[in-house]
Amino acid sequence: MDEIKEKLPYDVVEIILSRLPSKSLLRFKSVCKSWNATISGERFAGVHLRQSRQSSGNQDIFFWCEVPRFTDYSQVMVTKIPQHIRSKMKLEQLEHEQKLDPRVLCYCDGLALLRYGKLLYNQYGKLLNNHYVLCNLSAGTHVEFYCPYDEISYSWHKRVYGICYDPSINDYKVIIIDYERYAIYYCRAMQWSEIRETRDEFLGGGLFIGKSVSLNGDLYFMLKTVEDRGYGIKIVGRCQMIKVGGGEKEEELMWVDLNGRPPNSEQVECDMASNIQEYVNVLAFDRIYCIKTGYQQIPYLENLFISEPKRKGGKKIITSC
Amino acid sequence: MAAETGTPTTLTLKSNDDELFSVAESAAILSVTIRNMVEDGCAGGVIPLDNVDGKTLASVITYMNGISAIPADEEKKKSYRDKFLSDKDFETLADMVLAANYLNMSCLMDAVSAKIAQVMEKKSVGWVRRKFGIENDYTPEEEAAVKEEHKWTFEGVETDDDN
Repeated sequence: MDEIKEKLPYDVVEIILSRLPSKSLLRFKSVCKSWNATISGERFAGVHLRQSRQSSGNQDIFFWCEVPRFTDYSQVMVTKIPQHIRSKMKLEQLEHEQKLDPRVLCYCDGLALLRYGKLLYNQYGKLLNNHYVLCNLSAGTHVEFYCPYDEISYSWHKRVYGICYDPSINDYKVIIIDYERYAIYYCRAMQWSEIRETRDEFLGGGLFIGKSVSLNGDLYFMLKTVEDRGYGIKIVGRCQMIKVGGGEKEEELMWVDLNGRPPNSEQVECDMASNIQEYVNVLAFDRIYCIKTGYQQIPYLENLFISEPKRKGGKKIITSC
Repeated sequence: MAAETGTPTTLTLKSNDDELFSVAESAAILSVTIRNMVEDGCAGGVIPLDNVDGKTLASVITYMNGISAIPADEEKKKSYRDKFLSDKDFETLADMVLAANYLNMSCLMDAVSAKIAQVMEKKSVGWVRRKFGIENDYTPEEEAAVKEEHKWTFEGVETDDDN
């Protein structure tokens, strides 16, 4: 064979790159300028996301758990951020200072939302529980932000969270919902929506519990409803979330009842206990669902999200304090 | 199509170094490029494949025959693909990905590009430049800056053995 091979054409190189995990991609930005440009491009991030979704696998497993008798204690468990990623993201330091609660509030496409665990008070001595850390697992970066809405912030024990992708504006959204209201944080724009009322005809007075799970842009929640024999559990999904109109934004949460079972999931027996985080006493849970997300690798989201946590740019993070 | 007659149609493929290969039409039409030629009725004589050399074409035909002999069982097909690619070196894989691209064989393309990515995953930047024939067009300062930005990604990189 000749010593110099012909170069692989650009489109073939891109197909190969789309199969690589984020860590390799970020390293290979150093190969040459054109690879850097390709890997940094927004189009490539989209290709990689689609590729990650197509590959079948079950790297990310979520558990929906329900404590039978302790109705206030029911929750959805979402995977913790693995240790090696935590150290890479320097989250350990925050944890060490007991600032960060290591539990993931919600997760989507490699974005994870965590909350500051340290109690902060404002000048009137009121507890502020509105400080969040949004982690981009693929780029190994995180940003901190505040929820500016006191109404939601103070009812922290009633809140649930979700992250989902909105292709119409090419942005990820963090949704914070309490019983009556919700607000949305646009990750890329780094802005909050206005606070809005939840339409309650579907929810029928039920309460959200625990955490949401995000799959292919949809969010799934558990909903506690009042039934004859005390409380029942519904699992509801959000479909066609948030339509964004031309000038005036019209946002709406729509709910569908999934008959108690999330799609693409299987109910698992308690022998899956070894896979569940150690602090969950699995025997206390009535039902456990394992959801296969279909991701083989964490999608490469560097450019769909803030890649440099320290970069301030012209954008301002809205704070409430 | 000659399926009714009992004798399967055979196509003759010619590599760019003038080697001739016979392959069953049913296997060859895994390539959309070849299938289009067959459907357009221009696969009667020898089909010249100008972008594929003999060694690679022989390998691709082995794959075509192997995979089309497996009934519709995605598990078995996958394990055949894994086994087929397991002992191929980077140069062979690069030839095959080009051939799969040219022949428009999506299943081979997927498998080979995934395999190449698997081989590359832990390799150094220098290894990638050599294997892909890429010239480093960064100035030393620029390169240091790009590397510094993603320093953690250089942890756990294999030492180059050029295999």
